[in-house]
Amino acid sequence: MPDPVSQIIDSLFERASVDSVAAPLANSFACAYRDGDWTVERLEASVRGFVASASSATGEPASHAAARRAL
Amino acid sequence: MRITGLTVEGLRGCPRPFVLELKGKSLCLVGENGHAKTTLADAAELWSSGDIAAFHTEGCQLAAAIHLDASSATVRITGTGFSHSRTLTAADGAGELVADAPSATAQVAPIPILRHSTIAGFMGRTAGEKKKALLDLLGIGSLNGLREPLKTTVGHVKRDLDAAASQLAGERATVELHLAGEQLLAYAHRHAAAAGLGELLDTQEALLELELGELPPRAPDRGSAVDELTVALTGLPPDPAAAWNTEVGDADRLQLQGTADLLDAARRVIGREDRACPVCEQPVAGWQLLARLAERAAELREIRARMREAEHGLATMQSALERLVGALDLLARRPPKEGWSAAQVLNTARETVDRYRADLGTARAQRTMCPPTPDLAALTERLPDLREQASQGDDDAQTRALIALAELRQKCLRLAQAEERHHALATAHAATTRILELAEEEIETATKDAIERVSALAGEYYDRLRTSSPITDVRLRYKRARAGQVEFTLTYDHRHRNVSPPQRIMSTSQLNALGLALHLARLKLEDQPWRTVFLDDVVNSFDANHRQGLARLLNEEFSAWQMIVLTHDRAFNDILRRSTSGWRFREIAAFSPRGGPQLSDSEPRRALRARLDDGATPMEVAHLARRALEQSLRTPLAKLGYEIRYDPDQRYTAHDYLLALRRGLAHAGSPLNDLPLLDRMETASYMANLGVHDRDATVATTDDLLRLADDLDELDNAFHCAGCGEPVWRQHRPQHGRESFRCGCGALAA
Repeated sequence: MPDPVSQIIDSLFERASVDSVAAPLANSFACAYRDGDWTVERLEASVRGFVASASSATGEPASHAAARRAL
Repeated sequence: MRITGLTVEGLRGCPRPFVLELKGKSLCLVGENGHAKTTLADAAELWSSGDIAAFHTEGCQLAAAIHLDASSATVRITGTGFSHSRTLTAADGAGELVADAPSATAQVAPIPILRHSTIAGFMGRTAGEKKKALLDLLGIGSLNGLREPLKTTVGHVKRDLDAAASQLAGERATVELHLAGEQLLAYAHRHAAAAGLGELLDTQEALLELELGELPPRAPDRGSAVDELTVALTGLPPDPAAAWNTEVGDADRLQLQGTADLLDAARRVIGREDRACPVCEQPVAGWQLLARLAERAAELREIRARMREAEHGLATMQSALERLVGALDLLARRPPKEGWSAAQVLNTARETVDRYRADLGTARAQRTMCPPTPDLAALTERLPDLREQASQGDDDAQTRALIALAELRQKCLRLAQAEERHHALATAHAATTRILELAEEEIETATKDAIERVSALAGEYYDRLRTSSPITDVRLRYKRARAGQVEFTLTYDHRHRNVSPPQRIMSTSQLNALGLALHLARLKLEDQPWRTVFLDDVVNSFDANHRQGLARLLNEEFSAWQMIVLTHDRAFNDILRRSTSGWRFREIAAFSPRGGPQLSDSEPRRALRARLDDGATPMEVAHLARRALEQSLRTPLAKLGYEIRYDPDQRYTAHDYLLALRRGLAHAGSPLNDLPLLDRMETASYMANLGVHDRDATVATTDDLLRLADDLDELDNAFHCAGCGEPVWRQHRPQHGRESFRCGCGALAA
């Protein structure tokens, strides 16, 4: 019989992965849980990775589009 | 899985090997407090889980469970298809489970153990703690660890997002300050033209892509020095010299003269040498003289006030000059561009101000006349020229335009980076917050489902534990408050519904019964391999109604289970004996610190005699003696069917049994009631020492116990046929209104 907690976790990340708001971090959080590293440090590392990736998505320095938006 | 045998050695109250034969059957083990009953539950916990949780909550190390006289503890449990042992040592802690023989069962799940302390502790928890504990009980406790790291991460991301928002606002303000209200493209066009870049900067992107290479350093900032000079010149106070000079001439004279005159006049008045006015020399009366002196003193006070005001004017001027000198020095440290015509003016002004500062200092210190403020109009007139030259600096217009464009570009890039970081963090914050929401939904759903399953059964079990109670419809209810809470609700007296928490209505005994109902319901629903449960003193504080209800519940709902009941409550033992079948009933007859518990292997009366013959101390056999006394009286009472006074808790003493027996014999007209032995027993000292449960049984002496053993043997003989040895209740025939007994061999026993 499958572990009830595993079923709940699977359901959680399945919903998160198809949720438009939660999706950006759903996979990395799911990996953290399955790695047995469900800690604040690991989750924050996932967030930092996402932010760094999003900030440099259009190359360094920041995109001109972002500059136009900012101005 | 069921247990057929348990052996424990060196653990807590069992210093020597203690063997409990179960043969897979349910067991009720009765024993006094402190006779190592809980040690058996601890042994099962240690064996199956490798730990004893209570030893952590009580602040001990697990090694403290090893008996003081032992160096290690070993527990062996055998069952159908398995036989394992586990050893606990102070150095290595609990070892691995070792199979005594090749076994199909390599791993075991924790044996379910319900303890009074666990149940009472659960009921005393807050609703939030109950939720956590219940999730643990229901096997989804690890969900408790899902929420907190997420929640903390959300908080930290929010903190970073706020910092990014502040950074973004700062970068935006920097750009706006640089533009000074001008539109970005207009500013860029203007400076591009001045820098000779033509139409290259006709778009914002062109501005951002602008590669300016290495720019010349900026010229020293003279503009701020000119600004400071302007402020210093503007802040010069009005000329203080006139006021000072007016006061200092009169004041010195008046003050010096006035002071001397007043002193002299006072001397004269006091000595009454004459009546002449010290000022006008005219003869005056004493009171007139005093009036004149008072006028003079007032005049001097006014002079002193004006002097202070004039001196304040000098001090203010000195401060203003200090600032002016500072501004001139600042401007002098930034060398004027070659050909500055204002340089001479600055030098002259500095010399003039220096001289005036010196004059002011002298006048103030020596109270001499002060020269008027020098004319600085020449310097004031040159301020616009100075400002113009300072603003030009050393840079030519083209370089200044390039620098301005480069600075703007750099600020725009920083702004764009801040914007992107803010946007990314906002996305991350929304994502973590949403995942937390989803997790809480999942946890709530799982918790509700689990609670719903156990809630109805727990309510039903509670109803069956306590019949005819005004408390009905007991349920567990989940609340969303905080991280989720679980609490019991109930209906009271069919009028008050959803009463919560149950402590509002329930007594401690009822709460414990409710907790036990919940734990039993959980066991019933739990999917785990054991069909064995230890119940350790769970009927503490239960009344007869609750005990009856529990015995009935165990018999009806857990007949397929192996229940191991550890209790000091003989009444509960008797109830179980009457209401169950197939159970084993054993008793811890004696306990000693070195030998540990000892099961009753024979009739207590004979066991007592044997222990006394072996030289046992009163302390060692006191409890056995009490049991022997009670059983020797209770057996004929029960066998002859005599009644005893009603006690809902069925806590009878030896004295109660003796009185009931005598009353029954008297009522039946039995000659046995005339036995001198019964009179002697009523007043025997052992009856006082052993006959009352609330008293410490160890106060009985060796003489008491030897006398008791003799009396019990005599009592036993009295109720048995001297010929064939059969008990009198085997043949029990009333004859002509007078009861007599006839044994199997035909001889009258009494």
